Amino acid sequence: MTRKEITCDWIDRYNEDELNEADKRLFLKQMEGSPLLRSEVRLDAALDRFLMDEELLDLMKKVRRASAKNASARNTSGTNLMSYLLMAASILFLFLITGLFYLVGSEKQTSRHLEQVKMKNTPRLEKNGTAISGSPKAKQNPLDDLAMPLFKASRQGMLAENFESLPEFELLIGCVTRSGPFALISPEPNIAFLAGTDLPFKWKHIPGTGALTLVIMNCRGTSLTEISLESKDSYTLKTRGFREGLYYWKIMAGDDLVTMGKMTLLEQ
Amino acid sequence: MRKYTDEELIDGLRHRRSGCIDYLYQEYFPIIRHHLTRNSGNLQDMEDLFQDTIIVLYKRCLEEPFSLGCSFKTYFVSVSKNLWMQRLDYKFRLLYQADYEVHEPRICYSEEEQEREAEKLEMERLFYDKMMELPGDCRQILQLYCLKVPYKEIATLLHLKDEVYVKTRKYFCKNLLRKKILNDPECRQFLSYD
Repeated sequence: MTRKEITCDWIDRYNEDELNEADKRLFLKQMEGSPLLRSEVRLDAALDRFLMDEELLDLMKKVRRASAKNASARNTSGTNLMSYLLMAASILFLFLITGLFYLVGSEKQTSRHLEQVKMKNTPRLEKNGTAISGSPKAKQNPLDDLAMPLFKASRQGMLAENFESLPEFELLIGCVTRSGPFALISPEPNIAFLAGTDLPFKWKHIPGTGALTLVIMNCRGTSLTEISLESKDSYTLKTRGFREGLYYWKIMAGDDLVTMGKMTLLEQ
Repeated sequence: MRKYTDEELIDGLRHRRSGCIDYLYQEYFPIIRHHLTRNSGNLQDMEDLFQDTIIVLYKRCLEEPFSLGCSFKTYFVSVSKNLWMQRLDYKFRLLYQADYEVHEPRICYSEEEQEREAEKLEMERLFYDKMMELPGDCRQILQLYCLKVPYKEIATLLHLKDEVYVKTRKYFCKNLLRKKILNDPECRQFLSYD
């Protein structure tokens, strides 16, 4: 019999007093020489006593159950707390994002408002092509000041909107409502050219024709400027600073519409 | 949760009533947790100490006559504190191998009897933990065997083949439990090599 077999099975049999005298003497001799074997025998005896104590086992089971119940309650409350915290953090984050969008949106509105105010305050051209006093650049090139409102007015919408035609005006393109004393030579009623290019207006001067006015309007029909055509038979419209888009022009004789046309300015 | 009087707690503990044990856990575990947090204990130590305290109180409740000279709470707390001091004392000796002949004598919380009780509590805790790791049928066979139930009856109760099978199975389960215990590092303190 190997030493291992003696220790494993014999410990049980020794503790249960099932060894015969010869085996018992042998086992005791083994124990004398091995403190580890003695510890194991003692441990095994304690284990047997423990297994026999049903009430103690029952008590330990109930204590462990109480501990597990409270541990899960602690975890649940911890989990609940974590859930509440996450929810609160998410709501706070949403408020933050909404606030940021609101701020950015209000900034854009403010800048748009400022632009509109500037537009109102921008000096307009007088009928002879010179700017109304107040603007230091008035005498340099009237159309420089003219270009700015045009530029800003058309910048408000999307680029595609600048090319949208106005149905009521489209009907009048190329029409001459007053014949006789006035005959337009150029430009064509419908012309497209690069923005910044000068557009010459030429007409046949007929004596007796009253004061003529060239009115430039944007594609929404808003009058941008009125230019008094003092020259007898020509005028050059400078489109420097004009944004690409569709513009209408009309020539008025006093309060009467003489002719109307449109020009499409393209990006350079 | 309903409140228990001291007498109800003693009686409930004596009869191992679940409601009473749950109440003790809810009311007294925080005290242990607070005490151990300030005295280098972790959560596992708290759980173990609570169980040990309950077992000590249970065994004392079984002793006749049992009467309290103070409130149950005070008694509970003092038992748990003493047990913890014994464990710390033992850990100190394990860690630093203090030799009282060489070093200055320090206050020793554990008298010989208390030391044995603390060791027994630790051993029982180890046995219980390892037993819970066994398969269900192993636990049942071992417990029935230790209650001196004959092999034949165990076979009938647990719907096993025959008593020979029960005997073999019991031998296997006991060995398995013994190996689990001996292989646990906690068991080293119970074994002597010299």
